[in-house]
Amino acid sequence: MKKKKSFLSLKGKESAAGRMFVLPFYVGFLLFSLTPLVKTLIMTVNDVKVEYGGYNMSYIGLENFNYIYNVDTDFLYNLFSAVGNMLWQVPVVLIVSIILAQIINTRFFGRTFVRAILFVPVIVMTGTVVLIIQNDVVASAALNGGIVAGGQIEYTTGLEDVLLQAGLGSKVIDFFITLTNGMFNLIWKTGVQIVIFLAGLQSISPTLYEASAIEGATQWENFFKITLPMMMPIIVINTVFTIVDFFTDSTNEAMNQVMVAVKNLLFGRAAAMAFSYFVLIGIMIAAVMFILSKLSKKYG
Amino acid sequence: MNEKSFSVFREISRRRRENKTVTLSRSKWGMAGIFLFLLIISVYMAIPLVYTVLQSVKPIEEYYIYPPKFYVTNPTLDNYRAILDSVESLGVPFTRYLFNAVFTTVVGTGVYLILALVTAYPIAKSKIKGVKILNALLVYAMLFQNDTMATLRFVVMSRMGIIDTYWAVILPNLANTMGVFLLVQFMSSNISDSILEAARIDGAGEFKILFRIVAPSVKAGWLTVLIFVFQSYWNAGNSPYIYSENLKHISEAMSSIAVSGIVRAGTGMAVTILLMIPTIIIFLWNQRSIMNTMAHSGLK
Repeated sequence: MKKKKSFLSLKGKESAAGRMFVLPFYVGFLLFSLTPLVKTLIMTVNDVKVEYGGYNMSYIGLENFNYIYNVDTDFLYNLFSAVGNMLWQVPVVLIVSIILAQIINTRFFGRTFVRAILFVPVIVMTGTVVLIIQNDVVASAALNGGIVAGGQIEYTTGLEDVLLQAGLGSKVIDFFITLTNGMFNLIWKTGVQIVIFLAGLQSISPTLYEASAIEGATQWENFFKITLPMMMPIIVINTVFTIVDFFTDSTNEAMNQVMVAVKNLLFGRAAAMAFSYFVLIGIMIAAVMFILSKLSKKYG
Repeated sequence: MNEKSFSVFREISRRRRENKTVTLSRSKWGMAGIFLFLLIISVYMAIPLVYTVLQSVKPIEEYYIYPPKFYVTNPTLDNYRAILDSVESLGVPFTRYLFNAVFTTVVGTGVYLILALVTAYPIAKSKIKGVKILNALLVYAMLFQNDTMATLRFVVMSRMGIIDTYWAVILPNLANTMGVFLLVQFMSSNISDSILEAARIDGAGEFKILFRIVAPSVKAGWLTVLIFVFQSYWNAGNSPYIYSENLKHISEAMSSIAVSGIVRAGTGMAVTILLMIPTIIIFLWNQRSIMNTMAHSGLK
């Protein structure tokens, strides 16, 4: 039998194989992420009314956008305060988590124990578990920065008194109080990032450090000249993840406003808000990725 | 080679013989500082966990003490016995809930890992057209993994006719792009093109290359993905897409035991502990394997 001539070139065959590999995932993605996204886009220019057995849409142009920007006074404020908080919180989370990951990655007595203590709460306390705990008065006090003294929960007022007696202005005191109370949230938020950084640190070949040890490099040189450049792709994903995590967190006020609108069945307005919000985050992520890719090209 | 670097070299070869990682010495004060830092953070992290354990062994009388105490004076296992009683009064046998949870978790995690590896490989390592677009989609799709999409996903799933089936639990989480993006980053930094080329010349097919060469090299990456995916399925909580009692998740049955006010507070905490145990076991096993990967590039 004569061999049938393939209608694809070798290169074409290879890329067809590649497409076959990625196909299943993107079909799922299309269904569960892209379809809702397109629906959201359509809803932004419609008045959505929920009725028995479904919903009804009527075209109203840019009325939803007009409402959220010109009538609703909260939205723009929430939007900008979210961005402002993100700009300082995300770098802090990243720096703290890379330092912690670096520390935990070295060998010392009791490392396994420290590692377990640090991550088990973060990994374990999601979904149902955290719901049960948040319903508990004492536990939620502990979660929100209360400290446990003498078997009872107390809020940290001691620091405030000390600072007041030191004669500092109220702005300075506020700053320190939010810092100490935010300590818990900060550490809590670094969990996932540390796990990702640790996996990244494990995939750097030890031979690099051995070579640098023979050359007589210091720990700082190791960190800046080997660890950071080798970790660049992991830093990119962690930055993006932290930004996304920050913006989609339910404690974020802009996000909260969207959720409240959804709960009140104002789907049109919620869609317009969500759309503006996601465009803004999209621009931020694009900017961050651009800067990081430039950086990794320079040092990588 | 001078005397100092020669001694470093001897140290390295000794440690290699003993199959240990090479860590270099630090100063005593530096160690002490790090230890203190980790201690403070560990205390912060451990409080909610310790609290949950303590509450789960607290007898009902002590729940009525005001102000609430952190400690337990008369520990008891009554709360755990109460779970057994409640379990017997459930409408559906307890094992059914357990089966539902284990089935969706195992199938979901397994399928997601295979899908993620198969999708990430061409995006990281092939030159098919549109790879950049596919990669960007992965990043931006991370934004749409939250509750804002729940309503619209319901519409999609009801059109597909999979509401109130196992698919409604398994499928939406498969569209999560975070794990795929993580693997793409790991593959693009850890796997050199020359090793793939060598495998192709030896006649290995793409699937064989992926599962025999690429997957072992990014073990730290997919183990990290595994823990996140496992956790998202196991702690799925109340799925809005499931009505039938005999398809419900164990955490849903358990949280229905927990939410009955202060009388059941201790039982709720006991339930929380039981739900945590599988995640903790998986996490500890997982982190041990990550630490043992010692992934090298595979090239000499």
